[in-house]
Amino acid sequence: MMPMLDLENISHSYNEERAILSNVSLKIMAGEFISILGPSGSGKSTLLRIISGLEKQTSGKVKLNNNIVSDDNYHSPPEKRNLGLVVQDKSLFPHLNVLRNVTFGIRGQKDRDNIGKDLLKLFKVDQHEKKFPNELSGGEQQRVALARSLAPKPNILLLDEPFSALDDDLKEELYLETKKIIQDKKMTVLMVTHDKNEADIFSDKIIFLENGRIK
Amino acid sequence: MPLVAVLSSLFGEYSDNWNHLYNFVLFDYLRNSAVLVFGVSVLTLIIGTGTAWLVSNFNFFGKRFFEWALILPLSIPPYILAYTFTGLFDSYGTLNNLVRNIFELEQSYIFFPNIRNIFGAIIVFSFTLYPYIYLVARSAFLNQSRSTLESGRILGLNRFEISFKLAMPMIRPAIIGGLMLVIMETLSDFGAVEHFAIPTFTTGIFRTWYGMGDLLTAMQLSSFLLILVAIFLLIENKSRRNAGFVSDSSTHSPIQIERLNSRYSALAFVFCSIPLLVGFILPTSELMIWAIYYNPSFFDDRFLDAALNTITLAVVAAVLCSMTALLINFSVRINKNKILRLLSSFLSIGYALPGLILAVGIVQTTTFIDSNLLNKSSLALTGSLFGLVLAYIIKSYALSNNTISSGMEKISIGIDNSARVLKSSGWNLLGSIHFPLLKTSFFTSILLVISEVVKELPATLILRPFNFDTLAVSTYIYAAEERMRDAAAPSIAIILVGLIPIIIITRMIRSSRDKGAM
Repeated sequence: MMPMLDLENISHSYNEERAILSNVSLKIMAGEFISILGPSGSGKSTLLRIISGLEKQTSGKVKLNNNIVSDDNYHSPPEKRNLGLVVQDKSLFPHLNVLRNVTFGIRGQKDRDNIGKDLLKLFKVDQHEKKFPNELSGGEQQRVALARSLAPKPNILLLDEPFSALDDDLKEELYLETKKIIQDKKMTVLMVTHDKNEADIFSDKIIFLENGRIK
Repeated sequence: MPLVAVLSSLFGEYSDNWNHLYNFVLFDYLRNSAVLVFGVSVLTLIIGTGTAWLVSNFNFFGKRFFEWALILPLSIPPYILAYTFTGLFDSYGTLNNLVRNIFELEQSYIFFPNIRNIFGAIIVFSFTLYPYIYLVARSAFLNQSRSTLESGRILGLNRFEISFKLAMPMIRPAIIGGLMLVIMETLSDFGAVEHFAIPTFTTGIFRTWYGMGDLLTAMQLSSFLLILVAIFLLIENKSRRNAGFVSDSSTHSPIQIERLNSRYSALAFVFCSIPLLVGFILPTSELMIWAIYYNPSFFDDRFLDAALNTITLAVVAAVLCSMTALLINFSVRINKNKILRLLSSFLSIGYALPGLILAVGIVQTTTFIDSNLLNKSSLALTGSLFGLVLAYIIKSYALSNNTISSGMEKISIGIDNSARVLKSSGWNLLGSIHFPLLKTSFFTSILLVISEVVKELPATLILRPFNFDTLAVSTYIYAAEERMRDAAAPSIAIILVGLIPIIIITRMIRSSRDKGAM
């Protein structure tokens, strides 16, 4: 079985003195939920940026669905990789209402509004579809961000500390709901977090990253 | 290209006209420019820093009003103030007539001295340009940390020593930046010095070109002025970099505002009233009186034609300039394009270019394109609106660039990342994310450019197509024919448009102060 994501010897540095990532290799199979656990500055977020194409690694190879999307000679931009990404600060588009935010990534489908509304219902924010991001609470914004990332049916969902800005009660509630939705949709997910509890709840496998190396 | 065209003239032949200029008038140009720059610098420093110090550090009667009203003279271009002052202070102008009538003096009695000289020009420039210093000084005073100043008190300085030994030196780089802008504007001006018949570089360039028909010598003169302006631009840039030490947001606590007693309050009121009165209230009142009482055909055909031409040109230039700034900034942000970043910085220097030099360079460039690249038998670009719009874009790009780049900085990079992962890139990213988020910045940029274009005189005068008048050109022509009252209508229209950036600046200051108070 081919891995959905295959990282081969990824290294990255901004200058010669300090490497952010050193020879990171990783395979994720379809439907797997893998968490990368590590302290701040360990290179977790950089790894997600490299996988999403927002940054190009200094060396190594990134394969998605057995296709090379980035190596020494080629780099596919993020918009060509069909990935979902949710980050800590949500980055919702402030000028678009909730429904337009969720349907933003859906292209060429006549029923994009229905897809969006279904996802909003799934994440229990369908009553806010006409509201703008600034009218929502932090938890609601994160639900919208999750719904938006799933809307274009990405090959892999990348989560960068998606729950860290939420309070504990809200986290617990969203953990359960998100886990159920991800399992139902059989999503392949790579999450980076510094919270061991969070990694334990979600993950099929946990990988530790420290000083840019997998332990 | 226009810049290169001008500077390349230095390496060309020097004609007899140059020898004449060098032997007889160049020294006058230099001396007059130096006297103007010195006089304007001293007066604007006193007015700009003094008023900023008062409204930033003290509570006194009228302070809230002066905070924004002191910027108003910025809406009046120096050439309009020069025309108005001529009408006000001439031997038989409004104010001398008023004094004679009030005190029942003889018609030959002249109370106010002749203003059409270099000292009059110093007054005109100082009272229209001091807001450049007022704005930067006020912002620097407001950004000073209370704890820093309190440390001075603890170390034994009294209230005035704090101001003059600590506060003023701390804001010096910001003030120097503002002063350099004042100097560049003074050196670049054409309309006011021409009206007062003061030989300076700009009037010399104009006369050499139009009077002697010698474009090459005019370009050589322009090159010297350009080098002078470049020196002041370098100082301005350096002072802007140094201005960073004035504010430290991490440790910032606002300065303590002191209430003045009634005597000092009255003095502060008078000190702040003078620049407002001379730089705005007097000239606008005079213009209104002219417009209402002497010129009933305010909206005559000539005025309407000029207004329509001005608005059309200004809107076209503003939209093109803002779009250029938007595209360059977007491309720099997304593609990290170093060449475009460099181009943007280079284009931003255009605001410092005197309109006259820009016009000389553009004429040279369009003539070159017409005669070498396009139809050699006719002038397609030279004398067309193309050159004029190009001049406006080069002159105003810095305004658009500053407005749009600061708007863009407020858009989190996470928004871009999310959009790109959601398959939005290029034009789609610009159209669906950046432009909607930058709408306010984009329209602010359009308004700022419009107000700049409406005021621009020398470039318009030279580059406009034959028989194509704008409001600035109409004002100039009426004033040149000593028909000051006819100049009232276009002047008022220019001032009204010039108020737009002042309203924007005032709103920006208010909103930043409100945010600071939160």
